[in-house]
Amino acid sequence: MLQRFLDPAVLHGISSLDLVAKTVVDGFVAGLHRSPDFGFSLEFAEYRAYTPGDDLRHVDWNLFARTERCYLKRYRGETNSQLTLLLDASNSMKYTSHAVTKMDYARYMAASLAYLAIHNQHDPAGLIVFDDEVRNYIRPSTRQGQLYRLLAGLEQAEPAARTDFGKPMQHFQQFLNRRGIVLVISDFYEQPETIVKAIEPLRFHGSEVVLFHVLDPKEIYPEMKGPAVLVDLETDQKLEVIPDYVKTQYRAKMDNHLEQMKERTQAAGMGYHLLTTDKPLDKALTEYLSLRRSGSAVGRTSAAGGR
Amino acid sequence: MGFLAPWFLAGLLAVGLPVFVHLLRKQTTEPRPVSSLMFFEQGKQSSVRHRRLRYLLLFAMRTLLVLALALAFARPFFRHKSMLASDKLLLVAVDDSFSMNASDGAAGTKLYEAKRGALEVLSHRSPGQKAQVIALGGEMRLLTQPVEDSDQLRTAVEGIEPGDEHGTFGELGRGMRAMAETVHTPMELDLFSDMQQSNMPGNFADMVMPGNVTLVLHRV
Repeated sequence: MLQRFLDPAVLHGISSLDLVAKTVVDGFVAGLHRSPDFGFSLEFAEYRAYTPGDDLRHVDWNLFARTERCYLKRYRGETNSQLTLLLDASNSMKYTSHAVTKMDYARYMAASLAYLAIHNQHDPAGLIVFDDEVRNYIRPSTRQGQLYRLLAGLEQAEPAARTDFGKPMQHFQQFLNRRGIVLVISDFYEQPETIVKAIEPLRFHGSEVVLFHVLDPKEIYPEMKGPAVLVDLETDQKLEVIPDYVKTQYRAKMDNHLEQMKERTQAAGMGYHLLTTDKPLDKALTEYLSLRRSGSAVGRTSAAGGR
Repeated sequence: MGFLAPWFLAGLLAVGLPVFVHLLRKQTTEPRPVSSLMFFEQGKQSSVRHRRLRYLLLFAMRTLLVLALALAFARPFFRHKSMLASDKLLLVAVDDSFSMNASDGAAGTKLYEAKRGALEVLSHRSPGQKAQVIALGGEMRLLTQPVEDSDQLRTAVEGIEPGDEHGTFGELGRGMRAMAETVHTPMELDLFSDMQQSNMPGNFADMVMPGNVTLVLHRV
């Protein structure tokens, strides 16, 4: 019953972003089968294969001595995981085929995650809004009023300009000096290798990075009844396109793009989730809690020394 | 097939209008915004072919409508060959004026010759063709109705007796024009006469025959 409050079409009718976040998170938490609080412990969780960029201090050298393979030892534990939301506010995020634009959906998601982090988990949460530059930066904090600063930042994040991952990601390096969870929300209209190359360095501080790929359903399964002139929202470039092409080659290219995105991000040790704007927001919240759990394990591993 | 108002066929040129609308007019569509043209490619040539296929039914209906309107205004009609053969009314007119009493040697009077010729024409008419016998003296007398019965026609011809009046072709012309008002089928008038000049009317216009009457003269 509460699940319907996670539906973007329902949320679209709510004008206040904090009320949207509260509705989503409360509905989500009420639907969980277990408490969102992951208790403090030093319980061993799992081994994870070493990937380039992981801190060598976390390697289980005893295991390496026995097997000559590098594995990280991970523990369950409770720490404050810093959440940083990277929100793409380029013009392409304005696209929609129904009531909710990709930007609206991204806002709802970011607001809900911020609410869940600050209100429920007492984690510091911050926001970086970017297009081809860093447009707004709210540093992660748990200070009073932080949630409303974040919501105000989201409200002001109107789509403009083009997406360019290269330039703003270089700036992010200086903002992200503490380990935590980094969630990148974008429609990722760029070559997968370029995206991964630009975002991958965010992991080098030990942060968990997850890409939330937000697309409109009609971008994946477009419908075109006749020839049409299409206009690029970012470049204003025009192109006449025929339905036959959209049904066949466009679908194939888009499927390949999504497949490449998934493969390359996971190969780089990052998480990847495709979200369409007609789907409820619980997937993003579940992923955050899951990451927080594993992220805190990494943090505990670091604190425990790993050996 | 013919047309009563063939100048309306110029309306067929209006067929060019749907052709222009469907095949030649440049497509004007509202540009649709998309997030990125990254996965799209130009497809202009095929779009024209697609548009033609899509609106083919509408194009055909519009073209047929224009054709039907132009043809309807041109008022087409069809000529039936069967009408020329058997529906043509045969009129046999025999001059029984006083001058027809003149003898032509051993062959008999001119009236006799005229009646013989009339019977011969009647005998050669098409099967099922109707005929009517007319006697032409001082006035035109219809001796039979339009009938197919050969005996009745023959009797009527044989019953024609010489009169004492002088004939007038003007009376024949007026009678035929009056008949043409009620009979719209083609008619063939076979006139058997000695063609006396005194039979000619004072006004030449009195001899004008209606359009659907074909006059065949048999001088005796």
